Amino acid sequence: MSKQRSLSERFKDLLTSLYVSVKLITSTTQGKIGFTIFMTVVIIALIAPIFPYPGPSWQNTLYEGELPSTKPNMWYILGGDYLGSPMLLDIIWGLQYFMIVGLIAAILTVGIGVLLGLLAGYLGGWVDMALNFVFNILLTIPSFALWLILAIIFRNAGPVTLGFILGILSWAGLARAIRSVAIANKAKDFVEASRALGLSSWSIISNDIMPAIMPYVFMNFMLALNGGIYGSMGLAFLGILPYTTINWGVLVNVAIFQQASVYTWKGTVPLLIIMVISTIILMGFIFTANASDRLFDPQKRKEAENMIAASRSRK
Amino acid sequence: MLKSFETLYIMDTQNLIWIAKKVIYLFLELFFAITLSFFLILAMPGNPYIIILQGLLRSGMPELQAEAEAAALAGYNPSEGVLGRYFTWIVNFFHGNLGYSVVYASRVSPVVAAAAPWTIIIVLVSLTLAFVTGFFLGLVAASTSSKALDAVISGLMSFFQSIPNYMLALLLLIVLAVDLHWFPLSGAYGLGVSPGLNFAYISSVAWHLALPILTFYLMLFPGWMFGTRAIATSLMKEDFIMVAKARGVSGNRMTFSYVGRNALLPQFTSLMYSYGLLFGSSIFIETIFDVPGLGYLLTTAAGARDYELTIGAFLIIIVAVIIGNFVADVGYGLIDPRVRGK
Repeated sequence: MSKQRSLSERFKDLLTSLYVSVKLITSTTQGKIGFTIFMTVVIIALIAPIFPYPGPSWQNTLYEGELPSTKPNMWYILGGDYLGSPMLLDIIWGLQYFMIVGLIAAILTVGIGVLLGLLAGYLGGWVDMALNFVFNILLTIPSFALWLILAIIFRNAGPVTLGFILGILSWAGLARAIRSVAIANKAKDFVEASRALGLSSWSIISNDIMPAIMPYVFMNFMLALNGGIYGSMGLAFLGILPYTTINWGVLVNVAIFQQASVYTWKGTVPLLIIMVISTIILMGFIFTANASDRLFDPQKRKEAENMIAASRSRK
Repeated sequence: MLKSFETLYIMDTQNLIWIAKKVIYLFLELFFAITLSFFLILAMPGNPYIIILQGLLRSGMPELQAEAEAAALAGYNPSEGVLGRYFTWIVNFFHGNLGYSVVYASRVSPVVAAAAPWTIIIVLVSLTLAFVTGFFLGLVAASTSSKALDAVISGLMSFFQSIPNYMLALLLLIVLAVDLHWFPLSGAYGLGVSPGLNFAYISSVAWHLALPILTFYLMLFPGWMFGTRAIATSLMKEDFIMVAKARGVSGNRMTFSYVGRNALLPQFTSLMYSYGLLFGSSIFIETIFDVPGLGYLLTTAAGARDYELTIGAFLIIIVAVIIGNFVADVGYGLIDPRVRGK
């Protein structure tokens, strides 16, 4: 039946399933808050280029650590950073920077983690033994120490390189989780049935095993996004990344290690703004990740679909 | 009761073989982990040999003498390739020699040995406190099952899970040390005290480490509470609890002795894993509070391209993680016989 469906019908199906997903995620208070924060961050990151870039031309000793005001112009509504450029622009462009880093890190983490985890769990035998050994080795090395070394190796890392650094060796935990899910599902009846029918490994993985790992994929994607923000801010805070005020970690570094701004009340204001905003964003992402388990619960999904259908027919 | 106690501790050959296999596996893990770290660390750009050599040449030392001196100071032979240095390091490692630190102008082992206790104290105290209080409160939370308490717990957990540890450390530093002057700003002990087993030193250390420990504690405690509550809640639905309830076992006894004991096994295992893992997460906290522990050592060493010291710090952290894994696995194997057969 699916062969005969037209493109517009398929598009409609996609929209409906997206709509159901959003409904499911936002069905709890936590999910509502998280999803709102997540979407706001994504939209600001996308439209950042329409705002002026807080580059050297904005730096002005007059407005260094300036308290929030509308004085020179509206951009200083959140005050000035430690170099005199407006905090608001740092934050807007910072969101884009962090989203690029996080997205690349998340794609690498989830991509490699799922692929190797499935290979190990599904193929079994010596492939499983070898891969599992690799996962365990990577898990013994603390991730932040690894990121630190990688960031020193790839000096002057821009957001793309940084995403690569944060994602390339951070997939071992996910891979191990996927491996155990794959092993647990391999023995299930419906997989045995597919195998008895002579379906290919690829078809079994994509139709029978993939649905079981989707919650992990979504959850870890969000967590890897968080890790990207945490990691790139942290590396900049330690003074390892190139100097750019759109990475908020650089601002924290300047505040603590270079200008000792925390010893004055005025100097702590930009720092507090960064703290509050970054924590709200990271919390929003965690909320979204926590709410995501409902997405892949077939029973909850069916309920939501029925409810939507019922409200439509009432109209 | 006595019988099960005996079987728990008697080491038959099967157990010994299981443990021996585990030990060999862990040594292989250590070997490959340190090898991977070694090559990554050596890939860091910068060359202490050239920097030292240029300094010596500028000071007017003859070239041949300067080259020999620089090679000695940098701690490696520049004509040796990366592979050569790797094998030299491995051979030295088995002789108990971890190499030479350029920054500290000393052998690596004493530098690392001096740094490790600070990290161990911080990790041990904060994680143990977080585990004990988190476990206890998690059980209490599971037995009351109130909606408001749930909201508080999950709210606390998402907050401390989200706020980056460096931000939390800075926040505590600004509020408790800079503004309120309750705690010192940085360092591991005061200037006036002499290290040793005297009251002044120990109390000074305790006062200085209070903020780093508090930071870790706040980050870890909600996770343990949440985890314990989740395990305890699912245990409450088990048959043996239903039977106990039907027998009229009192509420407190049920919570702590029936549910608590059964929740302890999985939580204890993850506690052992966590001890090791925390060793690598102290980088920021030690940097912010200027505690001269392993994390602080790691950043300084890597920043100054002190290769052998960086590797030394990595080695200790990896060993800590592996020991944590070993204790967790063996402990689990001893308590849970189902695991031993594998």
